[in-house]
Amino acid sequence: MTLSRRDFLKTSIAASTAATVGMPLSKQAEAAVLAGERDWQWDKSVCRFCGTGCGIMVATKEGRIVATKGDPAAPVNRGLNCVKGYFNGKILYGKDRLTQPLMRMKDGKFDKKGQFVAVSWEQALDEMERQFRKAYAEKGPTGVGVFGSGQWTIPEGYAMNKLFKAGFRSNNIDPNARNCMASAVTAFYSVFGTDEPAGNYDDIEHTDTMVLWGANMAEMHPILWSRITDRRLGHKACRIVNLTTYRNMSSDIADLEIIFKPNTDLAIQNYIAREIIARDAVNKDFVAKHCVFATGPYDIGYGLRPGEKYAFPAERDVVAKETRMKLDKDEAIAQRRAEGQEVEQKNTANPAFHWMISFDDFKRALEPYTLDFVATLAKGDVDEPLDKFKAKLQQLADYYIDPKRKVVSFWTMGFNQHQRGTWVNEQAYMNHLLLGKQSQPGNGAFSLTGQPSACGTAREVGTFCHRLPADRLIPNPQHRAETEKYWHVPSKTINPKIGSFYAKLMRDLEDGGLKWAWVQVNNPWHTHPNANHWIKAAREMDNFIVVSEAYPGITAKVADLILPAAMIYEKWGAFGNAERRTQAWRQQVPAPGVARGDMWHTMEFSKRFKIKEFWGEQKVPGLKEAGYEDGKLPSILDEAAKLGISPDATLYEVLFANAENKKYKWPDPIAKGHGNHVAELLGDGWFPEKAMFQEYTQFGRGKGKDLADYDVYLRDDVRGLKWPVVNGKETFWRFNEQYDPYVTKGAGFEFYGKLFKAIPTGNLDGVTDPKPVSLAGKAKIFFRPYAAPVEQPDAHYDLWLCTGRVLEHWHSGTMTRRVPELHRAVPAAVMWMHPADAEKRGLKRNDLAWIESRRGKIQVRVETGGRNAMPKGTVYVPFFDEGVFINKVTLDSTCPISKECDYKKCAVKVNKV
Amino acid sequence: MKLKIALFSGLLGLAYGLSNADPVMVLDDSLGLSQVSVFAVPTPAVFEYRTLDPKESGVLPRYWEDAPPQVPHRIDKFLPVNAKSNKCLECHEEPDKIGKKVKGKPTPMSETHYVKSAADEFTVSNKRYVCTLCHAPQAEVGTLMENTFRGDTAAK
Repeated sequence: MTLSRRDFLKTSIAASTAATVGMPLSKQAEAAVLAGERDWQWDKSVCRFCGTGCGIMVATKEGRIVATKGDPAAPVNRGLNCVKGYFNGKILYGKDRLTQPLMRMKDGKFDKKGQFVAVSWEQALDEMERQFRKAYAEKGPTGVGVFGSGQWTIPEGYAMNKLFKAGFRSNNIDPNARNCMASAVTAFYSVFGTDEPAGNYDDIEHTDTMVLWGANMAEMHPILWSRITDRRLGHKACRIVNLTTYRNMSSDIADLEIIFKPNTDLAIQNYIAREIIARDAVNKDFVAKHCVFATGPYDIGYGLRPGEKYAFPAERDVVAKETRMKLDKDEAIAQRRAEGQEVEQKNTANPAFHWMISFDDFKRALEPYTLDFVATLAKGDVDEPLDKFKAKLQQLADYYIDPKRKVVSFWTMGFNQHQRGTWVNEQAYMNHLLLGKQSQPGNGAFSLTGQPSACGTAREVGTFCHRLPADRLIPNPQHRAETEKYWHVPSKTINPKIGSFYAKLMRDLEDGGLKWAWVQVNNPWHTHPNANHWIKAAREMDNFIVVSEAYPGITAKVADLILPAAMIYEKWGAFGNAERRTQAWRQQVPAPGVARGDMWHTMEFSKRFKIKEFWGEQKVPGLKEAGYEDGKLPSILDEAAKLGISPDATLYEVLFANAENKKYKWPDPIAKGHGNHVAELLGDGWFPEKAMFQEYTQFGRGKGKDLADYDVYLRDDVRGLKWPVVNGKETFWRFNEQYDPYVTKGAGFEFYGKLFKAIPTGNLDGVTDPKPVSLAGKAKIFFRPYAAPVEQPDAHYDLWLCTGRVLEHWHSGTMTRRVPELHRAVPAAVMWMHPADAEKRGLKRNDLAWIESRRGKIQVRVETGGRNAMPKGTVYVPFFDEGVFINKVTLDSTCPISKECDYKKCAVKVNKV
Repeated sequence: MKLKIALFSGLLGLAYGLSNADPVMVLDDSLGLSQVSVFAVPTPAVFEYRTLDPKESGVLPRYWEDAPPQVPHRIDKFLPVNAKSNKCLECHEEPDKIGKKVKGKPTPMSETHYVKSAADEFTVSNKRYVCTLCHAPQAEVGTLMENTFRGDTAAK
């Protein structure tokens, strides 16, 4: 779509009038604008940053972006952007853009201890190939890996997933989305049997109660916050609750603010469930027809690396808890056990295992969660009177239970980055399902995402070490077989052993198991917690790290080879946002220097390898699977020959530029004059982004994950579509017969997800009948207990540390900090602290302090005012600033089920420098 | 430090003419925004937001002419914006002065910030109520990294 300025204004006015009865521009103003922008080309695109998925209009002139603005026709943001979003066009133009490959060299050749030298693409790929072969020869498929991203475009993620899982037969590919929403995924799977939210953003305009659980939406989802503010201010009965561990900007609009202690959200949810039952408010008809009750083991560890071998001396006491944890008083009550009991964490190997229980057992499990117990445990501000806090919890329960109220619960990292992240996600569904307030306009538990395509690429494409496209899982033989069929590769191509999740890829580097790693579209050495370990592993161990990057961040600095990457508007792409909306865009401008799209990096690399190098027998230590020799992947070369695949064919020819995909020709009229540097550089006449997308659509069609054809998303009248797209129509609320074509007629509601839908039966203590019982079409209401955080403040490390983002910067700041306006908006990360906590340490605002944990220490300036107000005992430090490298301090404990790290709670001490 | 930066800038200049150039070495410590070793612990500098009052602040240049302006004056005294109070609107809500900025006076909010009521009166859109979602105050700091965005030079 190439709009003239006049067309664009017409569109914009029509859309904004429809949406908000906006005033038209005055004729004079319009004329003035037209004069300045006559020869600009406008095209639709999307925002580069968060999971909201705002539409952006991009204006270009002579190969450069000259302006960007919120797309008035986009249903998500209706013309508005947040302060970051408005600067999308400027993120491409930082002076230190990486424009050519850089490799560590000494005396003219690669040397891990060398310094970076500019090299050609050929030299870069030669060395990358040589190092890959060395690692693969030594370790096989488990010796190589990819740190992928929820910021990959859909075709980019799909291509790398295919290269690794089908080409190299390695499942060591995991996205940074693991650290963003993996806990949401595991709960979607366990509760509904299929990933991603039932509702959509229109829930905001349909509801009258919105409860934020660990989601500071005012900063992290600003455009959704503008819609929430609109709803709140425009509807007197609307109420907003902000549950958080410190006062933040979302409290400014909220009606009720509940400051709780870390991890006690688990107890608060159970208090609400107990109240629902005590007040006889269970929607018995809904629950009887559509739900069952379930629970699982409590002693599942904390996702820490077991054993002391790699722990710093100061870390050892916490690491020891991975195997044995002593129950404190509250945890003992919450789990109906004895205080002081030393509990062996004996379910770390299979923490997701669960079984059905009776309603009576469920009710009995909730008994300890009285108002007195929960309020005393959960109150997070020592200065707040207990009675006041109790009244707040009661008010919260009232809001949920009131039959006249619709309720939406929103959450993001507060729930997901949580040592019991899966449990606390499941608990949100517990209360919505008990009340029957789920999968209806304005009623539902709504998991938001952080990244622009955490849903579209990481989750839907399945770029995780245990997943395949469209809700398929590596350990499931049928899912592997279906994937092999769509990929036209032999049976048993895909390795049945799941690969290393994100945190484990780092740990594998440290223990020498992973020898070669490729990073695309993320900055793991900046963003992964407990960073001192991984920096050392990268710089001091014998391994090879390649990073495809646009700007030199921390990951580039620890890498051995840096490949210059094209940025969002320099390539074709598609993202999927948090409401299941898939949106696509065209390349708008060329990339600088010899920077190229990540998909070109992937495909060009694949040209260097032949089928016979990987499809012979391969060693996979620990592989144990029916139909496979232990520790080995079989040779599939004979099978390949039968499919007409030559052993001398390249991976590029077989996986990417095959006959099927080459049917999608470049140039393509859909481009409307826009270029495609990836297609042009590959130069063999096909349209790789379109071909990859079309190949991928096969996986979801008929499976509740239906996507439209690629060209539909590029149409002028389309601003993304919410899957499943069936008969050209998007789906607004899943599992609800009124809206979802997948629900059986007459069922009303149907939770039709297929995963984990046959489970054993038992009681609160364990399984009593191992025979799996089918619960097709039903959702599970889980009982999950309160569990204490593995590391808590003590006499030595006496403060809680919480980390996260700020409104003005995106993730590790490599893009937004190069926009001067955004840099000036928040020039550096500061440590928010209660003034009394500061004073106790001889500190005041702007003083320099050490913040130190068992894992590392850094310097930071103190802030006692501003947008956040900390309760005594808690400090907050954002992670965007590489000069305030807070992930050297954070703890790499994960939810044992989801393997997502908990960035929200660890113990630190603070001293004046 | 100066030397390292010079080397790095030199490298950027090579983007289009690599094959003819001598190899240039870039020290990894000089890459990025903090320009120290990944093993080092930098000392962050103090920063302060502009302390000018609205009457004396003037306006700041915009990203492009229709882009939202950044806040040129102090706002600490005016925050928070909450359901009961929005001090920004006390000066910037001027529906009769849209597009008529007067030097030394508050910048009137653009027409996009209003909705028309049934009685044909312009009221502030609730979607635009939280000003700081889009308009950020600016600190008195230098540029961390130069940005080469130049907009449409012909239009200026």
